[in-house]
Amino acid sequence: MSTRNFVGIRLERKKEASLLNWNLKRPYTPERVRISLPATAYPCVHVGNNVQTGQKIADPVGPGCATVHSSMEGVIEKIAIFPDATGGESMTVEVRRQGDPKAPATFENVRKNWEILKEEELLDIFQNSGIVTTDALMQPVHAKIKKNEQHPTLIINGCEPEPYVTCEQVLAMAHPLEILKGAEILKKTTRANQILFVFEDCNLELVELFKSKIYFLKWEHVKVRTVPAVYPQGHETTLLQRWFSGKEDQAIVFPASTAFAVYEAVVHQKPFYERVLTVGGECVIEPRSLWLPLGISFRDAIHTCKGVMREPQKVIMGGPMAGTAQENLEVSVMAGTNAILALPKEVIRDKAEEPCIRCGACVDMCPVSLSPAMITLAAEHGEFELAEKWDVSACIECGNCSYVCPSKRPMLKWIRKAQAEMAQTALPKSQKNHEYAS
Amino acid sequence: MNTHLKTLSPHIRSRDSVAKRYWGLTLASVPVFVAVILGGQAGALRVLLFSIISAVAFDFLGAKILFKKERVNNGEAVLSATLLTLLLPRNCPFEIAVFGIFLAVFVVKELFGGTGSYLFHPVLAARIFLQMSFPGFFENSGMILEEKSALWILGGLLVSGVAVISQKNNREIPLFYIMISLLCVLLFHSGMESLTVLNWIFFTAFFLLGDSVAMPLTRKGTRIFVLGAALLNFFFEAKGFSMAAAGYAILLMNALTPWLDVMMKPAAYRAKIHLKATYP
Ligand code: SF4
Ligand code: SF4
Repeated sequence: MSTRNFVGIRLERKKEASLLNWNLKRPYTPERVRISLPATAYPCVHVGNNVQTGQKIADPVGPGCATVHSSMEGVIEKIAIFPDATGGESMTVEVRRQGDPKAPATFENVRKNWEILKEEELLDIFQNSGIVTTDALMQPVHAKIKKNEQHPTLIINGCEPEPYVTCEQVLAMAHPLEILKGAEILKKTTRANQILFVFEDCNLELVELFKSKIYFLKWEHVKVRTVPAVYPQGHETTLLQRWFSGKEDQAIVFPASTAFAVYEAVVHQKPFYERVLTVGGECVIEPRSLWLPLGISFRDAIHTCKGVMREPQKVIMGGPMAGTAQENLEVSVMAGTNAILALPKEVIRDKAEEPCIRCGACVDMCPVSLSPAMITLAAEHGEFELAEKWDVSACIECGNCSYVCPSKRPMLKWIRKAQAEMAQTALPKSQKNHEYAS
Repeated sequence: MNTHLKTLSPHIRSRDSVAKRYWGLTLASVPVFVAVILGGQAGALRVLLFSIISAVAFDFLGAKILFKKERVNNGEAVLSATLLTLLLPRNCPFEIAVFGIFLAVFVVKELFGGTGSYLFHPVLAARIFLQMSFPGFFENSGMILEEKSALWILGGLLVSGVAVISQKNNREIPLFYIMISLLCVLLFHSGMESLTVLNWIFFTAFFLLGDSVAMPLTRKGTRIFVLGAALLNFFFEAKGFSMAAAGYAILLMNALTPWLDVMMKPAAYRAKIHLKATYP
């Protein structure tokens, strides 16, 4: 294993603040939720309908999509296109609460015979419970697994290399057994022989907790591994690169919180309509990780954590390295939203861009061995083909290159531009612009 | 509706900056100047003063003439002035110093694209051009090469070296260069001359190779650059040390840099699985 596999930046982790409030609370229902639908889902409710918590509100079109469920009891107020937190726009169902805030609904109905369900039945449950991966990609779990495909190793990822973000850690600490059982269910559907739990080496208490649980369960096919706590180690690609370089199809990676969602869907028959996420950053009064319904607006989410003590310069969905900055707080939480961060000016340290001094820091720090300086230079001059010769499409958008650059070069701007251009030219003519047309 | 800054990730940045690097290197040259003065070359201060003033002026005017954003604050001009001063003799007339600075800051740097774009090390290129224009006056003369105060300068350079090495970003290059070059010095030079050559090697390692612009991007590339510079230096100097030869060694590698960049392209890691996001 070459040392290139361990490239990473030791960032200031800043997780302590949100770890002060360990218990995972579920706040009362907000006034409204706006649930974004993926492009391939079609709403199956109408404006004015009453919906219950967990009721299906959108059907999948085609097999590669999962259902979408209401995260709150209320009345459908609008079905329209709204900007979503990824920076794009999507079809959105708005549910408005009737009457006073209520305690969130619970699903305690244990499914009988869940232990003997077959692979196809489980995949169907995944699809009809609307389970998508809880990372930024938000892929439907049943589609990611694919029927009849075997992945000998199942990796359950408990790493959070991003600063501030603690949702996986808190959830894994609170529900280790559920996550283990969820992993066991995923193992059945992926036909894996072994399960690897991966944590960062600074979260030793998690490692010990899981080791002891596995020891008591006598599950010999489950192992716990650690990766160094440097960014972006713990990202899906870097995990595959570390242990399965060249044979990536041998393994499949799911975040620990996805395993938890799988457990709840299969055992408690609870559709996927809420998730644990971190509301944090220096500006938030009571930063913590907590359960929030999907679709809750960033404003309400921050409000449940007692609001902000001063006006943040940036509000970010996700971590500060790879997250998306939001213009306003009306956007809503999505399945892949692992954090809402309100960051002040002195943390952002926005500086003017300067010319590249070819110091090589970005090349040294790229986890997938690209040459970001060259890519940026090519893309800046409109030479996107050249950028592709320098492998721009292999970029995982981790943000390391811009982080270390002494000239504060906006690499990701150019990298995304080049990627978009290449994707456009790679498509056959009929499919161009298709994502916006549908 | 309150709006927040909407820029692309990452939203946090390291504390590194171009100005920090250049001013850091400039500051690291102070011990050398102290040593030069203690070694009896008080004239250095006069040359330094002329150089710095003219460098800042040329940098500012150059940017204005070429309609570019002036970047005097990032310290590059002052750094160039400092380094060129150390390569000039202490009794250098001020016109020549100013002309050298004009060559370095305006011709080799600004006309070749300014900060970050030039192909050759501006200071070295300017110094070599001066030597070609005034051959008798400049043969192997420069404060850094003064034989009388060589020991002083060696001390100063070592102190500077510690300062340079302790700045984390450029540790490998100078150490590697010194290692290779020392071998050559021990083999082929003796007596007083070896002390001057030693000073030159340290100066090159800590200061001339501290300019990353005309060097390759990748680690492999810089290693080859350094190896090439050291070996060429050794090869050119087979008949005795000369500053021109040592300078050419680096300029030649500068010329090879674009090619090295392409040759030493890192092998990208591409996961075979295709990760595709659900939302646009
Ligand atoms: S080029 Fe892409 S993968 Fe490499 S450091 Fe930059 S953002 Fe990360
Ligand atoms: S880190 Fe920035 S200045 Fe350094 S080589 Fe990369 S782009 Fe250029």
